[in-house]
Amino acid sequence: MKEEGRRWGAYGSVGRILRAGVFLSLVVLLMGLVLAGIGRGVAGVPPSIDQLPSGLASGEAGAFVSLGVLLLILTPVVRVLFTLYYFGKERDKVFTLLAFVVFLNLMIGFGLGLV
Amino acid sequence: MPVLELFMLILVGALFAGLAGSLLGVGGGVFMIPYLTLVLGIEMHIAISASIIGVIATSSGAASVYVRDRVTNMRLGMFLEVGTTSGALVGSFLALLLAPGLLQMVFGAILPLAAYLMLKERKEVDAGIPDSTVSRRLDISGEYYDERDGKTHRYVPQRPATGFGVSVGAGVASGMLGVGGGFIKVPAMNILMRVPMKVAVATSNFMIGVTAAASALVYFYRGSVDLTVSTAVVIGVLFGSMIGARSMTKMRGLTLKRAFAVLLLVISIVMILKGLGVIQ
Repeated sequence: MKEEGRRWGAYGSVGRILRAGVFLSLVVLLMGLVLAGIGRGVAGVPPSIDQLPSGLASGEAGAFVSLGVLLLILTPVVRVLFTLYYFGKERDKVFTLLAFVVFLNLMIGFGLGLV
Repeated sequence: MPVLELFMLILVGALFAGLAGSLLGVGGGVFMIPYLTLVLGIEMHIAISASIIGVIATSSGAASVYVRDRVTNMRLGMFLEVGTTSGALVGSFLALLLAPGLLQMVFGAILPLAAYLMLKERKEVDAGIPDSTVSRRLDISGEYYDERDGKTHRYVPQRPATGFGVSVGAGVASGMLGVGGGFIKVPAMNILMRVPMKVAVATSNFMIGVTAAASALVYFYRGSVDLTVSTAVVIGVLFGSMIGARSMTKMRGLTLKRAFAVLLLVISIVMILKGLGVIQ
């Protein structure tokens, strides 16, 4: 039973994280499209991070679409963070390290995008 | 072209790319990039970043189902995705440095490989192969339930180091060309590592999302993301692949696969000629 829990314990949560991420992103993207449809701007180049909150508050299409795309990109990132937490809690050193390296790679990607 | 017209054209194309991809067992990327660049004349970097964002959507959707059904080998996936994400960083950075024409040529050159691997015979794996030392250390052996024969099958992934190396290569291709790279990873896991086909497909999907996220993060604030193109691609491929998954008539027919392989070869030649500037 312990073996069973150790092997499959993370599966339920990982499945839910992925489903929720895609669903949320799709909802926000569709909201952005509706806003574009009623003439609240066009989606072109993503607004910068600091412009995003004000864009969302004033209901600009570009900000919503940008948030939708970001939520989609962040879905696997959240999944990696969850596995990092899960394997850390299980005291599985090798897989905690592997998850950490993957998270590090993602952060390097984010850094490369900003410079 | 007016924005709405462009949006609708991309949406319809992405729907078909997602549908074809899920029926053939490859991602939509191999069809999406040629459609965006050759048919609609969208710049290569914009097409790559839109496609990679679409890839995250379809792979995360599919992966959630495979994980829930416990087909995915999460430990194997977490081991190999260290390789794929590292490769993706290199690939996406290379793509930003290379001229669009050169990228088009590289994309064209890799399509025959995708066509060949799509047609290649899949291996049914027999259990009882001795554990390799690394596989045992990583504890990446697994089991899955096959509803076709109602049995639980055990398997032990072989050659983890080779599999890791191929994963780095698949990551480079993914980040550089905006594809999921499943056409490399699935045969690598199935043929080299002797993982059952179903598990290979599920585990590949599991890795593709995070691999694509690594390069999407590089592209996002680099000015190569166009939100109109990306949104149309995401919504199109997502619904296309959902229709494909639900239609349940998985294409076993070799004829259709051959037809698509020929189509990929034609696209390959056109992409290379276009990259060389021979045709406009």
